[in-house]
Amino acid sequence: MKRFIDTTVRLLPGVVLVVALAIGGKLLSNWLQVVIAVAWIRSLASNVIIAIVGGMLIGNLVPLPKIFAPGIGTYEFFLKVGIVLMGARFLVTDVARLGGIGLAMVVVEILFSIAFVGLFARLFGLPGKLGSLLSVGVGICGVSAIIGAAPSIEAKKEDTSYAIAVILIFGAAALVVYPLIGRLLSMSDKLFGVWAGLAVDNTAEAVATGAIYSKAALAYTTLAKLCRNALMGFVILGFAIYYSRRGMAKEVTHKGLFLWQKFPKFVLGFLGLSVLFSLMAALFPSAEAHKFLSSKTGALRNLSEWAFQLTFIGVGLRTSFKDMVKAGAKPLVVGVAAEAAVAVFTIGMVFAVAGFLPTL
Amino acid sequence: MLTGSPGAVSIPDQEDVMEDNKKEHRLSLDWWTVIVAFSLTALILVGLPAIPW
Repeated sequence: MKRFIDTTVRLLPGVVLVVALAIGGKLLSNWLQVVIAVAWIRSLASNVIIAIVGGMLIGNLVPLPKIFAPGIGTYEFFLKVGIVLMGARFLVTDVARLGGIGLAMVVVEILFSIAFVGLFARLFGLPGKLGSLLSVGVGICGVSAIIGAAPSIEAKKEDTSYAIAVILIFGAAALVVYPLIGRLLSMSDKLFGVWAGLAVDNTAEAVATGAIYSKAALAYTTLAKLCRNALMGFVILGFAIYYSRRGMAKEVTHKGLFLWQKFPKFVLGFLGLSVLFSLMAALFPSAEAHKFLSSKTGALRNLSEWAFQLTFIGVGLRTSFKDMVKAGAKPLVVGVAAEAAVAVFTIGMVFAVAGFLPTL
Repeated sequence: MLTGSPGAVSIPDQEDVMEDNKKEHRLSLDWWTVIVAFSLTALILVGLPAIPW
């Protein structure tokens, strides 16, 4: 009980700040949507962009006291809650159809990232384990994959922070660059959503990129991203075995347990809600039941969007321009090459399989 | 795992990460997420009014 109270007190200031900014951002965007007459400027004043840019401005310009830090860090929790709640919107059959082709694309994307980033890291003389961390980050899901892999391959602390810096810099860049490319190529919500889910590294930034494009794109982004997250354990296990065979890390004794520990459990939550709501829809087909259920999924959608709004504020607050400059040129060079290669490769793949992608 | 702090690229301490892995029996953030999300869903299903968006 004491620990619970301690944690609450520690998190409260930051959480209150994030919630206040989220509500303020939403109200501001609602007002701007009415006031601004020019359509394309109005689209820039969407609540997603206001939340992220507002967070960035406050995080970089206002010297926030340390007391807010733990609470701001909770945006990752809100992100996951938002994703789990989104599960209610998807028919489990759709999840299976898009998930099947999504998983196949993710496997190709991960193999390409690992091969390319590994090659590039060697070319630039980066330490081997830093190269592996970057491959994991670029290939799967950014920061959480790097944090998951670092102890398993016994990577150095500097390498870990370096890899995380690269992922965060390019996550921030993706928020701007991807939607621009999408609009330039007039990509559909479906194609753009799948592309962002496959290519943007960090889950929070991927979801934000999809949301900036459109609400429909966000649904595809989330599903494609979850396919990547689901494979995290396998890739980390692969690297752990690779380094332990070379005597550079401890041996993995229990592979099944290792996979289970590294599996992101919130993916199960997403699937669980999708199964629950699909089952209810199938078991109660009457018009009345349908009306009841869609009012409930509507409420869950609101809740999920609020959770994402908190996430976007957190993403903005976390993005530090000062640290980007501090990280130096080397991760930038490796990052540009790796991210550009993955972006080009995945966009090609998405266009190639466009005809096979099911519509949600 | 909570990461991120204002005005800083979050750099997890390696010792902390290892320590966290040792304490795997403790309920992880991932599980808390699932529990919270399902509780919210249950609340909404029994008729909490929709939160206006």
